Amino acid sequence: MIYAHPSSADPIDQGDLIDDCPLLTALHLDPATGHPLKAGVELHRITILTQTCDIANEKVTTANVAQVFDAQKLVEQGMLKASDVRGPVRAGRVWGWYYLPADTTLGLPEMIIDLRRLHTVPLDLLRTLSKNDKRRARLQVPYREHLAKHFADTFSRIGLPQPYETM
Amino acid sequence: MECAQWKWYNLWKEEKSQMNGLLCEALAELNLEPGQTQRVRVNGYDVEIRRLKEESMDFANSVMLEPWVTFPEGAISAVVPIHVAEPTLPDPPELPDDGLETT
Repeated sequence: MIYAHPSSADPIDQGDLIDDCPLLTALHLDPATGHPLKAGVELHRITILTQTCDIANEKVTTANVAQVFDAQKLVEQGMLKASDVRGPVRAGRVWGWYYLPADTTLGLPEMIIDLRRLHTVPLDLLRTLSKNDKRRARLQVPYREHLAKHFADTFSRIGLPQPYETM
Repeated sequence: MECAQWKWYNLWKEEKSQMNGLLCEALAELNLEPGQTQRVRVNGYDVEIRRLKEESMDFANSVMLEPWVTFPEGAISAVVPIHVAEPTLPDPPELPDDGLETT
């Protein structure tokens, strides 16, 4: 089982997929005129990246989340080819993108987590969304750890100027 | 001075080398394709000769890639004026109680 479907009363955890999470984007800032800063609110499917132990032990009041995209929609928009999704993205060969398979029972399509679109949101907000049935699924172990490893590697990798040459 | 055993060994080695050369020449004439086999009966037992498939090191398909597009922004559902508030403090870190803190 790749996904579980926790009840709305279950606590928040790493790997939770939650719909309609409000994410703020700064839209307008003009310090010269003194107009107030304006922000746009986008409602996104997100997944929680913060470690389980930090959430369970209440060491944090906020969670790091990443945006989750419907892979088919990205293909339809011409952003990706279907073969990209089936090939390198699914194989975990693209830094910062993590593939999640579809689950017809849970009504989840194939998805791509963008590990470069990160936000910090209050845990209470995620709890409220969960209580309102916005939590769609929870990525199970060991897939959750696999995602966490890819997330860590994306930011800890060391690039070489060019690949080593061979004979 | 070479002993008889050493002479015999060198002779055997030379013969073996010649034999290998002949065998290689004969096998080369078979022009086997990768994975193709030939069977031959020698001294009452079957010998199978098979050309191994070349293992391709597909380097290009094993390296990690950088993302080549930026996923689209979502539709803004609302625009809200923001009032600058006091910066929130970080969650307090858990400090180890190992007595190593400076006084």
